[in-house]
Amino acid sequence: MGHYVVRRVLQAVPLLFLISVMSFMLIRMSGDPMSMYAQSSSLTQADRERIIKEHGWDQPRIVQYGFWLRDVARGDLGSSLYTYQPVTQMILERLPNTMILMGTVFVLTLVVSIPLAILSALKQYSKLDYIITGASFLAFALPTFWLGLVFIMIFAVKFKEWGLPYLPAGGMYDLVEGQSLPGLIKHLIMPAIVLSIVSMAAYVRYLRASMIEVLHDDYIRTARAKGLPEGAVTWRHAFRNALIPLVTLITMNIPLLFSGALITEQVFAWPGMGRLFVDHANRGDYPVLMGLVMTVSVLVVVFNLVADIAYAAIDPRIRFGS
Amino acid sequence: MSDVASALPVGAPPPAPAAGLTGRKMTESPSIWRMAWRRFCRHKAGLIALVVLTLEILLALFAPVLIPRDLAIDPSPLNILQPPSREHWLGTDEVGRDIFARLIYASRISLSIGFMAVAVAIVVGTSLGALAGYFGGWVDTILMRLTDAILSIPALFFLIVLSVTLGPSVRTMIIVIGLLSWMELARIIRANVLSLKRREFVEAAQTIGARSPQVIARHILPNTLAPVVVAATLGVGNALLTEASVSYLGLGVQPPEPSWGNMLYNAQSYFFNAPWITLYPGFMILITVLCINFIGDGLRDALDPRMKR
Repeated sequence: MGHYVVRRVLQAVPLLFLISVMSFMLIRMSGDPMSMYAQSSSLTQADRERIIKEHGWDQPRIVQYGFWLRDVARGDLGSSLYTYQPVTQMILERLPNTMILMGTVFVLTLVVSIPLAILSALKQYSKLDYIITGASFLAFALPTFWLGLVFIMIFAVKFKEWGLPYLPAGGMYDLVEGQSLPGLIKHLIMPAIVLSIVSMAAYVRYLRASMIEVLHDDYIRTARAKGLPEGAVTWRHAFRNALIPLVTLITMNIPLLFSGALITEQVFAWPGMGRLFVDHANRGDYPVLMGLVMTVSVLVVVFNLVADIAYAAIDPRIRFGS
Repeated sequence: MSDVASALPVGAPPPAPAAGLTGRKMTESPSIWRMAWRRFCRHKAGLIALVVLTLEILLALFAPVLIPRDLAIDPSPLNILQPPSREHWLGTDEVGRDIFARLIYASRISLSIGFMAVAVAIVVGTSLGALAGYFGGWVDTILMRLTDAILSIPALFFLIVLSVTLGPSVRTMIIVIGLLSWMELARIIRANVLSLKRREFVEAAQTIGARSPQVIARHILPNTLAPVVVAATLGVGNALLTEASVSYLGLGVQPPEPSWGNMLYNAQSYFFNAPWITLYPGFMILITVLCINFIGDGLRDALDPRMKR
């Protein structure tokens, strides 16, 4: 097991390196940081040249990447070219907010989709199964941002109009009340439910298929043949094996969840990393964009690593395989 | 495309009927396609979805004949925010354009982006997957690590950067969405090629002196068609959803040209007095993606009978 963990960790390093090179080249291409000085007439040509030289923008891109990597190795992600704030500080302000949203969505998704999928599989081709499968098909085709807009329209705008208790349309805390837990929960309900609905769809379909497959396996027939009560067959044998592919499913869905969070943050004005990214994307503010992309990628890679190791711990076939 | 069934064919041998066809063109044996069609027809939801989507495509194709383009593009200050009526079936938007006309003209753009982006993804995914699987070794290592790297960055982050780089437009959307959706196809193709290249008919072709490109194109790829068709179909739905998200952010298709996503760009300001602005474009996306997913599901049953749920 130790060997496996070490091997997986070592594989993650070149992966992150590749991601950082690719992202740096793309992000540096996306905008010229000098364009923000285009309007300021007080700058002389000499000033411009000095700014370019100071940042190393006269060097080839690959050298610029080298500078960036050197600073990162020292724990310095640089500063925003616009607000002059350190990128690390900007990200640390936003990271917990995104994690609150994503963590809630993750837990909500698992808690709701696992029972639904198992129920649907156990009662295959029943009315309940059709309803659950149909709903998951529908949710799978829903644009996240539109569902968010419709939720705001109903639960914030219309509910208020009808004099019903309504939810806040956006933000993370009430401006008057300030930061409080009840305020946070109130603001979290809509974005979390919207993103969960969309992410549940994949889980329900995948787990249902997995459970049905397991239920047809030989060892289930054996368990039944030796006279085990149906409950024990379902829970002790089928359920536990059906959950093994859940690990793969989680790893595949984490990047999707980040994308989903980005758009959800935009719709609900949730002050997370995705919103920060969108705000700075148009400006060529590459230290901020790089910092965000790398934070998100490191999180994805680390989650994958944890999932893979958990997977190997559950299923010895992985550990000893190639 | 995180759905289990589309991921399942990875590593599985190709469907039995197709294997008998190797070395010949698929079109020489219509019976297989007829059988597949018969199986597809048994999937009722898929069949209904096919009819709806066909109607939608026809409407998009003949839009210029049916509806004057001005209605969708030109502002009409006298008709701002009209609720649905006999003249404006689905109402008008904040500058007086007819929502129904805009939806139809948007379908031309959104559907072309969906299909063209998948075409790009098929070309890239098939080439890279086949190269990786056929040649193995360091080619395989490099290409697969590249795939892993791209899959580790949430797509929307990449899309936004690329869209800013290339300048937001319809063409950019096609290229960018295509370049970010080939990874699953490449993996499917690679896995299939890996299992196929050891088969007798491939060895036979190599023995009689066929060159690598010929072996890949004529003998191996036709046998991986079924999973690719299914994955590509589902890919169109994903591409549509992606285009809508990016255009909603204002970084995709640019106004006044309508797309289902950018019609929602300003919707938030008109929740109170014009909810129709928000509702209809979303329904359009939902119905279209739903149809495409049902068709994909039907195709899976039709092309790969062993994969029956």
